[in-house]
Parts: sequence; C-alpha cells; structure tokens
Amino acid sequence: MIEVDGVSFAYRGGESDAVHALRDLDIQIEPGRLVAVIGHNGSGKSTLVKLLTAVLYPTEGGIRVDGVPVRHETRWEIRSRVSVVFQDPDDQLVMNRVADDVAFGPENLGLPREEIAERVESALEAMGIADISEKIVDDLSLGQKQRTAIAGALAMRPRYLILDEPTSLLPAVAATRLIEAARELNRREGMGVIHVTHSMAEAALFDRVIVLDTGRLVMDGPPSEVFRRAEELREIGLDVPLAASLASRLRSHGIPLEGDILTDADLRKSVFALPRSAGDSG
Amino acid sequence: MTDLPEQAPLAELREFLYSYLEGTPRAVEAARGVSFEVRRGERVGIVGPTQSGKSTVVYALAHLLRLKEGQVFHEGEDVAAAGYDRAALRRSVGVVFQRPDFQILEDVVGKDVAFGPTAAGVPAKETRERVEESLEAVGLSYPEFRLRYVHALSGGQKRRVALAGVLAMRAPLIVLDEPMAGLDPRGRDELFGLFERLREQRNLTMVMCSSSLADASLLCDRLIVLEEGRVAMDAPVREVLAGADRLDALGIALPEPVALARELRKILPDLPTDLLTEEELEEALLERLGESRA
Ligand SMILES: Nc1ncnc2c1ncn2[C@@H]1O[C@H](COP(=O)(O)OP(=O)(O)OP(=O)(O)O)[C@@H](O)[C@H]1O
Ligand SMILES: Nc1ncnc2c1ncn2[C@@H]1O[C@H](COP(=O)(O)OP(=O)(O)OP(=O)(O)O)[C@@H](O)[C@H]1O
Ligand SMILES: [Mg+2]
Ligand SMILES: [Mg+2]
Repeated sequence: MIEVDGVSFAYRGGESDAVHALRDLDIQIEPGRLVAVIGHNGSGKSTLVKLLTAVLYPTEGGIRVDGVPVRHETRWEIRSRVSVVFQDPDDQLVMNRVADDVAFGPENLGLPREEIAERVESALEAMGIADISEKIVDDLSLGQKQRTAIAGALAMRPRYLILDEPTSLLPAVAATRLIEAARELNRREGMGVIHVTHSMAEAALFDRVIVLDTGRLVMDGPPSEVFRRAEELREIGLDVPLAASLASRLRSHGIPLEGDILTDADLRKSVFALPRSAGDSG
Repeated sequence: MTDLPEQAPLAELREFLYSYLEGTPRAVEAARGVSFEVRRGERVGIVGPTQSGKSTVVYALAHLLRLKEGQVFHEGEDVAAAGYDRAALRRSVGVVFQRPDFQILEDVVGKDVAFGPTAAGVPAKETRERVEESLEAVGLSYPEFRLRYVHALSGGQKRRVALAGVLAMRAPLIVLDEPMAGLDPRGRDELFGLFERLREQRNLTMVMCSSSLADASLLCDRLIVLEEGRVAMDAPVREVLAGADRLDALGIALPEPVALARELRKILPDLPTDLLTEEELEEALLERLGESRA
C-alpha cells in the first residue's frame, strides 16, 4: 500500500522564489491497482513521481510504501519496491548495450543467471525491442531509448511500477502494447501501476484516475466518474476521451445511448443497443 | 512546367539518402531516396512507424546533416553548391527538436527566448516584444515565466519554451520534430490555433514529423508517409486517411475519430473514415442515427 499523508512540496522551499508544486495531498493506493494520473503541464505530476521514489522528500507530511516511511535512509528499500521510468529516458540508461541495460536492475538484485535471462527476454519482448537488444544505447532514437528504459523497469518485476509519460515518445501502437504488458504483469504478479499521461483515452483504461490541478488533487475515482465531469476537466486544461465526448453530444441531440461510455467499443455497443429503428442504418 | 524563381518550392529534397555511422558495422540506412517539395505557406506532416526516418528527413530540411548523396534545395538553389552560404541558411530555418534540452541555450527563460533574435541583430526593444509575444503564444505568461530557470520547469513547460524560442526568430520556414509530445490537451489545442494564425498572418511554412497521425492530420494540409526510409504515400491529408487499411498495415495508429469510425463501421457499414474531427464524426452519426427520431 502506498500512503501519501498530507504531503506538500515546494522547490526552493523557504526562499522568496519558492515554487509550491504540491499542496496537502492525501492519496492511498492499494497494491495491485492500475492508476492513471492526469493534470496540465506543471500541475505537479512528475514531482509526485519523484516523491514516491525517494528522489525528493516532502516539505510537509509523509509517505509510506508498504509501511516503510520514505526517507533518505530508506531510499534503497523503497526503490526495490517501486520502479520508475522518468519522463526523460536519458536520465536513467546506464549501460552501453540495450540488453545489458535491461539486465542491470535484476543483476543488482542478485538473481540467478537463468532468471535474469528470462526476465530480460520477456521485458524486451513486451516492449517490442527484442530485435535491437544488441544495439548501443547511444545509437537509438528517443522512442527506442524510452522503450529500453521501460523494459529495464519491467525486468525488475516491482510491487509498484511508476511510469511518467511513458507514451509521449511512443507511437500509439507501442503505447497500447506497453499498457497491455503492464496489465499482464498486473494479472500474473499483482504488480501495481501508476501511469502519468496526457492521453485521456489511455487514462480511461485504468481502474482509477487521479487528477491534479496546480499541485492539488481535484478528482480521484474510477474513470467512469471522473470523465463524467467534462466541463470541470476542460476548465483545468484537460479533456475527456473522444468516445465519451461524442456520446454526450449525441445524447444532447436526443439519441438515448445507455451506459457508461469511455472507449470506442463502449460507444459501439451502446449504438448497437439502440432501438432498432435508430441503430440500424441499413 | 515553368521555372520562374518565385514559383520554385521553398524547400525540396531530391533522392535524399542518408546513413548514420557510415563505414562502421553499426551503420544504419535511415533515408533511402526520399524526394518531395514544400511550397510556401504549406504545412507538411511527415508520419510513419517508429524508425522510418522521420527525424532524419526533418534534420535534412533544417540543413543539419552533412549531405553525401542526394540534393537539398532552398528556393530552387542547391544548398551544396560552391559558394552557397549554408550557415546563413541554417539561421533562417527554425528548428524545434524532439528534446528541448538540445536547443535551450540560456539558463533563464526570457534570455533563452531572446537568444535567436539577439544573435540575429534584432534591436533590444523589438526583441523584448518578440519574447513576450512568443511566450504568451505558447501559453506561458510573460511576467510569470520570464525570470524562471529553464532547468526548473516541468517537461511540458520546457517544450513550450523551446517552441517560443523558434517563434521569436520569425523564420519563414520552421521544422518541428514531434511538437505535440508532452503537451497537455489545452496546450495541444492552443498549438493548433497558433499554427493556423501564423499561416494566416505570416504565410509561415511548416514541416513537422510526428509519430501521431492524429496530430499531423490536424496540423497539416499534406502528409508524407515514410516506410523504412522511403516515401510510401504523399497526398493531401484526407486522401491519406481514406487509405486507413494501408496505414494500419504499416503499423501507424489511426487518428481517434478515424479509429472510432472504423469501430462503428462494424454496425454502421456506410460510415466514412476520412474524418478529421469530432464534429465531422458527430454529423455523420447524427445523419445515420438521428433521422428516424427527429
Ligand atoms: N527543479 C525545479 N525547481 C523549481 N521548480 C520546479 C522544478 N521542477 C519543476 N518545478 C515546477 O514545479 C511545478 C510542477 O512541476 P512538475 O514537473 O511536477 O509538473 P508536471 O505535472 O510533471 O508537468 P508536465 O506535464 O509538463 O511534465 C511546475 O510549476 C514547475 O515549473
Ligand atoms: N544519431 C544516430 N546514430 C545512429 N543511428 C541513428 C541515429 N539517429 C537515428 N538513427 C537510426 O536511423 C534510423 C531512422 O531514425 P529516425 O530517428 O530518423 O527515425 P524516426 O522515424 O524519427 O523514429 P522515431 O519514431 O523513433 O523518432 C533508425 O534506425 C535509427 O536507429
Ligand atoms: Mg512531468
Ligand atoms: Mg524521430
């Protein structure tokens, strides 16, 4: 369980130019949950990620991961439970060759050879980069580096995987594959995922959506609830998935679509379920 | 075809070939004979699967690569010709890199955006005006951000600063590598509006590459689809979108309205797929679902 208790964080705290990046945050995340975090540029998402991985420490309040308080002294213990992929992949690639970089974390855990090899292979596979495993990291495009960094985090098989905008450098096809890989690990091993994104459609695929606005938590709930509040979301620079937005437009024209509509498939099902005279165009 | 100088395309690649790390075992052929023209005021999107050579083509148009094979023309002139002032040319093309860190040159936001105009000898007063205008154009308030340290900004804020720096140069051609990545939904909307205005007011020519066909379709008039370093399609946006199956086969994700229309086609087989916006999709759906109800 991740517990964020009354946490505030200021960069350059105490100085005249302090930036209050997070204010009075309370969040509880049970293990094994799939959580999306959305918010405008500068709303504090990356700051939250850094607090959860002991890169920064709260100015006020406290954070615990599975009961362990997040402090400078406990940072290694925290990082063995929580793996993170930062917004800029260059910040975290350490080895020369792709396969070695992905193996780096598991090797540091002191796992047996075969287990490391198996984890590396399946992580490379999951990210669709098995074909570049022998390449030198410096020769890669940014998107490939991003995937290498994610594969490295997957290979750790952490209790919690935190991804800070992992998909902003990836084409949609690769983004979908990443989310599927994370779900698979969630099903198989109960790994929890915290996924920061600017894509509302992606956020709708998670169990829970946390919304930040200038450092404050303003919404927190299942996507069906959060994305019902379209006007409020647009006011804070966000949006709702296309299918949801379109459904509400169609309803306002008197088309009686039933149910929660968040994904393309939801909309198709609701259109199909319309009384025959309306649903059948033929 | 007449070849009057004022009708020459603003930029052109002809049989452009490029390999990274040539002559080493790590050599990669990134562009394998790419040819296309860009006319003044046009907005061209370069799309394609990952590794297809999008960034490489964009860098060639920005004259950032050492040419080995093929030609690059600017206003009809071969930029590799003896005596051509390539350094001056480079300064006249604005480039927005995928990573803002590559182009942020000063530590303070205001100074960084002023860097280009100042280096080009623009007077201080006008530079200040351009800095303010450019920051506001990318959604960063001038009084709030001008004295902030660039390294102390969020990812999306840095990208906006990088873009402001290029706008402040007032270059007639700008090339952008993944300009929408990392922007929040409002930032994306604002960018669409901004590019629209820049074309109307300044006839700005723009070439952008994007792994998102959705973004490129909204921002551009014409799309060039790359596949393994070659041009697979080059056509107006709607024509490219109408070939949804071909794009699918290339592994290029379809724009959201197109993808949604395809999903709905399973039950509404006559729904068109060359849709760009939510409004168009709404209209098409109302036509099919609304009639029997009104
Ligand atoms: N090192 C730093 N020093 C001072 N202020 C900072 C620093 N890093 C970030 N900030 C500020 O803190 C606030 C929150 O930034 P953060 O990076 O957490 O935002 P974000 O939600 O991740 O944004 P984005 O979507 O653009 O990545 C912003 O106003 C930002 O300018
Ligand atoms: N600096 C470099 N050194 C070596 N190889 C490179 C370099 N930059 C790109 N490449 C290689 O050139 C090919 C084309 O890369 P390019 O970056 O142009 O593709 P892209 O379509 O922009 O990819 P992405 O969608 O990942 O950004 C790839 O195989 C890539 O690995
Ligand atoms: Mg961030
Ligand atoms: Mg690229």
